[in-house]
Amino acid sequence: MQLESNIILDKARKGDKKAFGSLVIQHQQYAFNLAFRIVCNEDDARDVVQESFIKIWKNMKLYNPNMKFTTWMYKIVTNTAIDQLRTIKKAGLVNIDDFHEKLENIYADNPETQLNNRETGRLIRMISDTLSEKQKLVFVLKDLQGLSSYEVSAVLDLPSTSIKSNLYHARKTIKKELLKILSYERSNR
Amino acid sequence: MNCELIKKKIDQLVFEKNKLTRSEVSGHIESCNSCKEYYRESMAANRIIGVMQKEPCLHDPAGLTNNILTVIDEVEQTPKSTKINNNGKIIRLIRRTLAAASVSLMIIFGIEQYIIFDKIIKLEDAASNISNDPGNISIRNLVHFNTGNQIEFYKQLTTDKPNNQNHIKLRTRIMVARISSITISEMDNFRVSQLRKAIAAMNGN
Repeated sequence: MQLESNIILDKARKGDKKAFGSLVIQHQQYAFNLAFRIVCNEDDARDVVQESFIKIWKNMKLYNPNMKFTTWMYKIVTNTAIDQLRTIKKAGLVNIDDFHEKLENIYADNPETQLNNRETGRLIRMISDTLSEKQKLVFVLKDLQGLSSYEVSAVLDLPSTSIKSNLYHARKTIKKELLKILSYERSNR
Repeated sequence: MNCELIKKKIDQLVFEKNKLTRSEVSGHIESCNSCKEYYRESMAANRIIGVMQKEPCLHDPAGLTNNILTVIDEVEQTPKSTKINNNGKIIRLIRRTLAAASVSLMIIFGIEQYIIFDKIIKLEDAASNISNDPGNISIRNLVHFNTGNQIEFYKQLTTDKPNNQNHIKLRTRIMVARISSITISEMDNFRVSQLRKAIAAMNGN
């Protein structure tokens, strides 16, 4: 499997568009997950994925095979998503009135409750709006994407100490924010 | 045990699934209400983070792949404007060369001008000291002749202390005075020689 991936990568680096198509199919879901968790919107995430793969194609010759392809891809997707996020104007406060019950159920450990894309996006946005850009990226890459600290460090070009402290503060803020949301919802019932 | 330390261990247990801290944490939260509450909140937050970890659904993945490859095809077919880039590079190179040349010329001529002025002044000052004849054509006399009361400034110039602004201005004025005096003197010499020739011619005749 790894050998096959390397062959595809090698062909794509030499300008084989068919091989690059296979690469897109193989990685676009991961790229979409990351983009969605940063921009918190399906359409914007699709745009980010598209733009990122075009950048990857244009810079394929610059790809260093010593680095994992996914790390390089995450780097490009993260930067593109951040650029996209800066151009999107914040549309005021996020309202989660229509799914606060689901949130309560999750908080109360009801495993069957699930959120759809739109709800998940709104929830991530509501929580991550209170974080700094660095904290948000570290939280998304580490806690939501499940990357190792080493990979997060490589994607964001940050030292591991900075990753740890940003993650600590991000989690602390998220906990506080969740408590605030849920206590507010309870008091308004 | 320090509650702050336990809270860090709770984070490690809840978010990073570090089970090595479990016994330490469970022992402490039995007796500490604050840490118990922290643990409860962390677990609840982790459940919500768990929901956010759920992979978002990518609708129409084949459509996305096609879009990407179509845009790449379009990008590939667009002719690259290498000519414009080359022209831009040439213009940039010419600009830089001209800038470097002008700076070099300014430095060279600036230094040269200063050296020449300095040498002339020193040379003529030395010449004026050789003879005390007020009729000789030394710069001191010429300046005196052309600038009248500026002679005091001229004296200052010859003291080898070129540290004020007036120094350069006055040197320039001295040079102008010198050139004009030499011109007048040459013209006078020319007229005298013409007169002599005329007298000789008359005497000869």
